[in-house]
Amino acid sequence: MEVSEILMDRMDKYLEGAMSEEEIKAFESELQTNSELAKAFEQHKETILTIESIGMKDEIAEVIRQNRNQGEKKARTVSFNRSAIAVAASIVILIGAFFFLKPSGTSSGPSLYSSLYQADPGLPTLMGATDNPIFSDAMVSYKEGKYQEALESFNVLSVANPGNDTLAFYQGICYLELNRTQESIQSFDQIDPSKPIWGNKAAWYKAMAMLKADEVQNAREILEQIATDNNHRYQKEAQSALARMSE
Amino acid sequence: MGIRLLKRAPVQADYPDDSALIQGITNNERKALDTVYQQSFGQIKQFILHNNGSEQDAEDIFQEGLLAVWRNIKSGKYENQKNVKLSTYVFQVCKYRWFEHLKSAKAKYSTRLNPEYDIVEEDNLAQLQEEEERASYLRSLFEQLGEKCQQILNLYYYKKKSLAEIAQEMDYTPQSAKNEKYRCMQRLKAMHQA
Repeated sequence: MEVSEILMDRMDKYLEGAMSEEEIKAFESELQTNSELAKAFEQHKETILTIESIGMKDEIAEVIRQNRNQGEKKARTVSFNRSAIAVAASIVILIGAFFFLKPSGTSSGPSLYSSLYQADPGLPTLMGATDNPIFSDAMVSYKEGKYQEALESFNVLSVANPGNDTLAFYQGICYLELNRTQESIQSFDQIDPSKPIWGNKAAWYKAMAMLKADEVQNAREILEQIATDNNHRYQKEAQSALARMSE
Repeated sequence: MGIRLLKRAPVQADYPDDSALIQGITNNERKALDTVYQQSFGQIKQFILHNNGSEQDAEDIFQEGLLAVWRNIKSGKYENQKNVKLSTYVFQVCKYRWFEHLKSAKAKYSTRLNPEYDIVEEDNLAQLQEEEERASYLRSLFEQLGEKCQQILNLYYYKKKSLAEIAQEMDYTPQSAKNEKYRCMQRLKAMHQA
């Protein structure tokens, strides 16, 4: 059914509670008798809900971001007020960091990598009898830093579970830790970057692998994408990484 | 999904109780979201940090969880939980989602990870994923509209601004704001059906 502008106004007025009682009665009885209208009305509501969901998701992200920034500001102020020693100490640290970081050259890929990289903490391994013992063992090895052992188990599992994002991700991290950067990048490439959790993680660690391989330009491209994506969980990290790269 | 009747009411300064807060959420008020954040985020963060998660995980889960709560309030699903305090409900939804996330991370290996979540009427993992995929598809359609269209639809349907306010903000006459709103809505629906 073609919705005219007049009809759309009526539907909006109805939803907003802006109709008189008579208008409401008339509209509702039309809805009852005209199934085309009822269908168009459902569709209208669904489209509005889509628009609202998008607005809501963005606004929640904004609330989180703003509160996080305020929290950080507060934390900074508190530590500043606590004592002059803290200030003095941080100046000493800053000077130290300056001398420590400068000569090593912050723009080279591997040195950026070592200052930015933090291993993923892994997944919990408290599992019951029904769980896969190979995965559990692999995770334990991973957490103990035995990346070669962990990798072997992940490889076995991935034969049986092709296309599994979790496995691809931890394979990528193991390769990265074992300095096999190209294989690491390939593992991360198997994960769809639009997936909210594993996709985000894979994109960030892929950039790390590229830095380690000294492919600075490629890493920068990924980091730029992350940095401009307001929904990306590594947005802040990517922004500060880019800031350091342009120092 | 049903939509509650909305009144273009003036924004309330604060929320003396849950029902005022819920009304604020229904009206998409920023201040209501801030209030929920203040009430619940700290607790959720503590919980996720103690259960193998990071601060970022906490933020992701809070974002998804609050969006789901908002949707449940709009659709009337929350009313079934009327005797539950809103902050408790938000916490439970987030907790459930975090367990689902951990479970999905190794769904192929375990049938259940931790049975201790206590919310009954939540969607299962497959539904959550489907919902997420659909949401990102709908967003991609919306983003195909021009910037002005996105803005006018957001101001009218999300921010609940009047056409007169929108006209002023976007430099339209009230009549052309109305026409634009109609035109953009029709385009979005057409893409939706295509």
